[in-house]
Amino acid sequence: MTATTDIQAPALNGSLLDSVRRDYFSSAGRTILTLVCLALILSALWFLVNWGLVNAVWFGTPEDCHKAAGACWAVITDRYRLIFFGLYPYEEQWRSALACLAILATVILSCVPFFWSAKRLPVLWALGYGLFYFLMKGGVFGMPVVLETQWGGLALTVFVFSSTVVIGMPLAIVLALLRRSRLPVVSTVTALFIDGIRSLPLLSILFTAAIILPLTLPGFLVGDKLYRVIIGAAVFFAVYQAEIIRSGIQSLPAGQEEAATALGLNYWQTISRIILPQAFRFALPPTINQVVIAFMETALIVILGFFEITASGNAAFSTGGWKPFHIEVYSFVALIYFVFTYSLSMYGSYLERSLKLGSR
Amino acid sequence: MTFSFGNRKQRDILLQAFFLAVVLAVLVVAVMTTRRNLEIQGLSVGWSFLNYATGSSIVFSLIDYDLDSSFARALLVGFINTLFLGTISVSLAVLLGTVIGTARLSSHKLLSSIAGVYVQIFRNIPLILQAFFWYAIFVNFPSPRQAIAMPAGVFISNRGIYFPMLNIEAWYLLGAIALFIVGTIASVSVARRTGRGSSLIGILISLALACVIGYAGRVVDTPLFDMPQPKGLRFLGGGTMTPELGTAIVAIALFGASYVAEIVRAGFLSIPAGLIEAAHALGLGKWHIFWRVRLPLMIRRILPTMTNQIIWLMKATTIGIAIGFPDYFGVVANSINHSGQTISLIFLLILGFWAINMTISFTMNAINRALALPGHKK
Repeated sequence: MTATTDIQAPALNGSLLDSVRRDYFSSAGRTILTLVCLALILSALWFLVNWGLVNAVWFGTPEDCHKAAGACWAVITDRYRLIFFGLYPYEEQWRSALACLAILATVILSCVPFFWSAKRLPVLWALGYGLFYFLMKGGVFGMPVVLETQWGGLALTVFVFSSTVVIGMPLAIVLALLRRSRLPVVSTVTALFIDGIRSLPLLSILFTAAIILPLTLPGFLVGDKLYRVIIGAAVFFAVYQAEIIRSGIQSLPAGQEEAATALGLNYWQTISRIILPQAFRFALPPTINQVVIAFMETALIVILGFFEITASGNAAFSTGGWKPFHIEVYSFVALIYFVFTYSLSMYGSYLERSLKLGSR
Repeated sequence: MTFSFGNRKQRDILLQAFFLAVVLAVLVVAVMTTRRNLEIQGLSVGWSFLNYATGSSIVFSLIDYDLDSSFARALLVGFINTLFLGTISVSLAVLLGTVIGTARLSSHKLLSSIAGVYVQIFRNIPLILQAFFWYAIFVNFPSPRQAIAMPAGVFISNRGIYFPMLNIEAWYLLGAIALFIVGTIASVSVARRTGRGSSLIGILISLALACVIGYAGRVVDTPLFDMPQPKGLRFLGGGTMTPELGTAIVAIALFGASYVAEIVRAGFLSIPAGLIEAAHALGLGKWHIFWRVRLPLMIRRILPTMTNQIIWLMKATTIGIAIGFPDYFGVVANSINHSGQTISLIFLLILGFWAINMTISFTMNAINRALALPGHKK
């Protein structure tokens, strides 16, 4: 008999019971951990199902809700139009809904590799954004004009978000290129600007744009408060995005730029055909992350008195006896944000994995 | 010398001069317009307003402040509030985030999925919405009359959370805490550097010294612990955490923890598998590998990312304004309303946050250098 027969191979695929025992009950500490986790999960599920589904009131009046023990989803079914569309004229709200769908479709299509080119992506966004604007504003094809001051709810959130990206992305590319400039004065001034803005809270930028800019700009440039705030958000997005693009450019081998120069390509050809397309490939996952953050940060404009979705949510429960049901409204608004941001960040991490596979 | 556009050096100088001229022109126009607009409103840019009384109250202040206090004092109150809120909530976020990030990589599937659900929920909902949510919960606690009594003399009510305090003068208490922290860090680093003796002795000595300072600062003729006592519609004694402060701390800590958890997770994942396998091969146990190999390596790897995250969370304290916590930004905004000194105050706002950011990155870089492994020094 040799010694090898005494050593058993580790049971890699024992019975299900064995693996459960090994993973969850192998020691006293692990057993306690398993029981605590189970208790936590089960009590959370128990509460959510009971409160949110079994005992919930789906339709009715505040009085019905007071009688029930569960969630009052009736405030959502009663006020969903206010939450989604704010004070947009009631008969025209289908336009607001279509406009939001147009941006949603644009964002989804942007995730399709077919559109990832310097020509197709800007065209796609110009179309989607233009469609959104004309649907919301009206004045063509017999649609009555609805001014920006009446825009609200999800539509306003989407408007601020898409404008931030549409203005911020080209600005970010310009800033990134200026910061990489060979000319020391240009790169220093741009670096000062980028780092200066980055060290400030977004809220103070938005506040400055809303309240201070009218003082510093010549009268003809002042414009509407909403557009100033959008510019502020776009600049803030651009300085962060510029650094992402710059690190994307820096992760390219120097040979790429040298080869392009050696082939006789001029600066613009090198940048637009060789450098940026490859840099964006590296920069894609953090870019998606930044877009998700930009979407969430649109919520800050509620502080400046804009009627975006958080504010319209606040308005939904503040009248008509719905006051006690703020948790339901906040949960609903949170769900809207969550669906969008979670799917985008899942897509981002999928992309990151597949890009890693490609570069192996 | 004649100029030619084909000469690269001359073209570069011309381009830079043009760029600089455009930037300067924009700045000059902005300053001139501002000055003219302020003149129309009858205001002059200056700093004298800092000495004027604000005439407005601030709901939360750690230092003495009343209606007669100057704008400078109000700004100081706001700045201290931001530092106070930021320090507490960012520390909590880092601690909680480290635990959750570690739990996400646990081999225990139930634990890692709970941590995963936590991260996804708190990462994907705007901070301000989370703040509104927690504020709604804080102000819907029962009134002080029906306050929820917790163990250790803590009471929860819609006016705030009341907790026992030490009857020690604030400056002595701060000094004692600072001494203990400095003493601990010093004794640990001395023990490590010399490689002799235990750091425990040094820690115990600084604890004893801290106790002596604390004892010296006791308010005379009072018990050591100041317990909150229900008195009609409010509580007397003890410390109070207002709903606004409580909301801001809870919201930023829970939100920040989800981001920190992701950084910690990425840090653990970036450790080369060979290092862990080597530790296994050396016969180290699971706990030893975690405390002596994985955790120290992870901390060194995440420090630069963590610096950015901490700065970002410090900036996030500005959401205090949404729920009525007077942080630095809130006080600046309020002072602009009351004094009209927009330009000076915005300048101070920028200066304040710039100072905070610089301090954080300086400290974190110092830690980074101190912790760097030999041969990895930058």
